[in-house]
Amino acid sequence: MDTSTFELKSDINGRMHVSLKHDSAHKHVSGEAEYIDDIPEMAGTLHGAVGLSICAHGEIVAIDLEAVRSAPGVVRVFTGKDVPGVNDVPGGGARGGPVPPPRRGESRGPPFSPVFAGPGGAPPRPGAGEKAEKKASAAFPRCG
Amino acid sequence: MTDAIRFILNGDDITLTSVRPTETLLDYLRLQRRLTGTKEGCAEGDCGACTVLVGRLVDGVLVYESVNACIRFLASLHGTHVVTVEHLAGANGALHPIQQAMVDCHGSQCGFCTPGFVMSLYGLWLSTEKPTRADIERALPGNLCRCTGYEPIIRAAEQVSATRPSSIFDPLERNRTDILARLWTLRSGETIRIETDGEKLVIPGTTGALAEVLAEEPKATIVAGSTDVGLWVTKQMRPLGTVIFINNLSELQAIHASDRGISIGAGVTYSQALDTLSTHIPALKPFIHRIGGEQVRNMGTIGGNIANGSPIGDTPPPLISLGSSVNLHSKAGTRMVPLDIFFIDYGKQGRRPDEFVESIFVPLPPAENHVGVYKITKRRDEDISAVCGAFNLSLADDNTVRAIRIAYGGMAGTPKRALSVEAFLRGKPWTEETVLAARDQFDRDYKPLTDWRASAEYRQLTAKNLLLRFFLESTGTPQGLTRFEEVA
Repeated sequence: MDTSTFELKSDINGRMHVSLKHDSAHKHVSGEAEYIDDIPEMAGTLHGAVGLSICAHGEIVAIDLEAVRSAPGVVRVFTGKDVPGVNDVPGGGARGGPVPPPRRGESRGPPFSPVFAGPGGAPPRPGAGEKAEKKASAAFPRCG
Repeated sequence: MTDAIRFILNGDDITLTSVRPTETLLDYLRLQRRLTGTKEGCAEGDCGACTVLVGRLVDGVLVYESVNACIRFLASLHGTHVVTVEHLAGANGALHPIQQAMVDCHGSQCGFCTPGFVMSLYGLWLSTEKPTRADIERALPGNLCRCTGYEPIIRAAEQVSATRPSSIFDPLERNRTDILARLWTLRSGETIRIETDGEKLVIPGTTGALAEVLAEEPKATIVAGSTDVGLWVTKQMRPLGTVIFINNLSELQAIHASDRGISIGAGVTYSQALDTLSTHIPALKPFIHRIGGEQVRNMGTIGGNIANGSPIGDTPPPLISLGSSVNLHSKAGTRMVPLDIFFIDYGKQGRRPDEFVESIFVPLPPAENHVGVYKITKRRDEDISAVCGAFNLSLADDNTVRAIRIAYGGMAGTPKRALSVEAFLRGKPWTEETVLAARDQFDRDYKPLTDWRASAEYRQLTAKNLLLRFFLESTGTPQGLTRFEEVA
């Protein structure tokens, strides 16, 4: 057999007990590895901030976002009503969930109002000026 | 010369005439210089992804220390050498030995925290010739890794310690003389004033100038290490008004020990104070090791820790128990205030708006005194006290309590003495029976609050138990749990 046409390997890649360098190790240690935050922003990029529920279990009766909408630099505020189709965002586990929750909050801290502002300025403070009236439903513990 | 912030960034001379007082070094590096190897993680000086080295002249010697760029204000870098991860590799892209060791030992996985670890290891490597395992662990609490794990990183630190800085491959060693000369030329001693978009910053050249500035602008925010004030900006988005940076003031950098005690300038960092304090008051050594991470210890000052009046500041309880006082300076002169009465109420200290903290005087306890200080936190390193108890006991020949000073943090709106406990113990025999009986007195001295660090009940019980712990240790029964002898 003419071995000049291909290279005979005496070993396989990645077998046990062989030290393999991380593909990106060089970039990691030199600071050259690029993460999303390292990519230059396009001109006109908007900054988003998320308003979070302060109540673990409660019913959203009304959300008053006027103060947020009228804050300087705010372009658009979204709530669950703005999601077309099925409001189901994949979560980290097996089941997704509605974001922002349309009516009933089931855990403390789910986002209910992404706010987009900018460009150029700092995003508005999450939660600033928001007032969500909540009513503890009989089925859930009262908010404390 | 025009008023400007002047420093060296890696190899470049930087002159900035337009700097907002709250602009951070991290934003400057990433957004303006596009040096994106320095990462933003927590933006509060905890995770260390933003770690860079800052070289500065300390008593004429060029010292490089790791700091958190996220809470370090750009203006505070006047007269320093800022070194980022981009400066390490050779011109041909060859990795620095620190970087190579991290690759060889598999010290990265997702890689986001890695530049920060590289810089912390670099700081350790420059300052410590043969680091022990404990030295390495103490250099790394301020860097959080959540996927690789610390063992490969610690192995990298051990591997690289076989190499010492050489001008062949190390840029800081190669350019040390040059950088030193350039930094000397930036030390003018003149006051710098910069106004940008209506926001003012001042860098006083002398303490006299600082007093003048404060007389003009008593509402200004004085910033030393910015390990607290930095978070007012990055987390609370609080406006600071005019900012006065004092970290550059060499007059506030001195720490002196005499037979009477130790005088600590308001600009002395925890790292700078460590040797002197732990030589004269050994109980403080393991305590200082548990303040923040290495980057915070390299920036934060004892003066700032006192001046900001936090009820959970680390240093006030031991300093109060030792009978320290604070030296306040204004145009009208100077005055000494005992530290225990300096803290008046939550958010209220005995500093007039036109005064600044110039130094702290810590009397040396007699060698036969028992001194103890205990910090109770949810995790051992880089955490804030739930409760901190400090004790300074003098026993008479007949084993009765001649004098005792006890102070706690986290038990009231201010760091506070346990005056009823002290009074109960004074003159009584120093026995377990006395100590157990004294515990009721805590209910007279303190009514702690419940917050996310601890409940009121936990705090009260812990405070009582710490007195018992102090008793046991003062009678030769160590109570601390240690993982490594040297680390704890």
